[in-house]
Amino acid sequence: MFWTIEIKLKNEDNEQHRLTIPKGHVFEKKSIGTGIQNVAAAHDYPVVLPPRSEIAMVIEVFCINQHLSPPSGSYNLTCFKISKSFANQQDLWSIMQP
Amino acid sequence: MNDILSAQIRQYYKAIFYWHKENGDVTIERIIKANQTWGRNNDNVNEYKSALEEMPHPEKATLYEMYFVAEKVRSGILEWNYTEKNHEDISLGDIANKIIELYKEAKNVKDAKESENTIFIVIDHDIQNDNEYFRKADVVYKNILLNNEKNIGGRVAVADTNLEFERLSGKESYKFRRPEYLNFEELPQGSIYDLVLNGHITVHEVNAKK
Repeated sequence: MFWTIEIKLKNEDNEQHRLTIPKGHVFEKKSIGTGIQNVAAAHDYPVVLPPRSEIAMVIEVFCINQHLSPPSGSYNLTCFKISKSFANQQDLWSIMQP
Repeated sequence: MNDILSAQIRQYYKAIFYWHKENGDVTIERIIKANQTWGRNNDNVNEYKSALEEMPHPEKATLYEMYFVAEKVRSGILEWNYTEKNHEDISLGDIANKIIELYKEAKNVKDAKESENTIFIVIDHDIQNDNEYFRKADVVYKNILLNNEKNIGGRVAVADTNLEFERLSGKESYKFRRPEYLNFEELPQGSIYDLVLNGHITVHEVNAKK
């Protein structure tokens, strides 16, 4: 069973936005040192946002930090994605090591 | 480095410098007497004289040189006068400790400033526990956005993951890696992050569920 991120987006423009939340896109907790997992998208998620529209999406995610507690609560969308390819949770944990 | 901290360090250093310049002969007599008592040679007298000669003038000393002298007062050839007091009744040992403390503070400010520009990697041997790490990480990584009102960021994932890397590497120091060394890469221009940052899209909620 996947963990998921539920995200609600609103297009503030009068034009459509077509974009992708890429596989590996990182979502983070809202403060440093909570002891709770940060996560990464498990697949690519294409998004089409009509002008002034609101949508809710469910994104399947893998955990980034093997030694932290399971995902919970509120998250932020980040400016990062995982730079290496991965197929499953174990792959991702293998990547996220020194 | 921070000008105020630098000026404070220089002011404290003056007290050590002038005390030794004015009381060097007394110190040498004290060392010789101790050597006679303990049956030692006078190598440490020559060492003290060298330290006295090499002590840089307060107007010319670099911050590192002043820190270096303070370390010798705390634990080295200048330690002989650790308990001597200046005209304000503060011991040279306390003054040395103050210099060391301020130097480290100034260095942290410098490290943070460098990280804001290009270097972006700092090795810190002074952090004693995770709480100190979290506070420092918030400074070192401050050029990575964290905006909880807009529900966007990046700083937390980098700081948390960096700490996990440190744990897994088994070292006692706290190194702050660049995001690329944590296998993070920045999203390209035009990404959803970019659109949120520039106000084209609003993120209302981001919640984890099973």
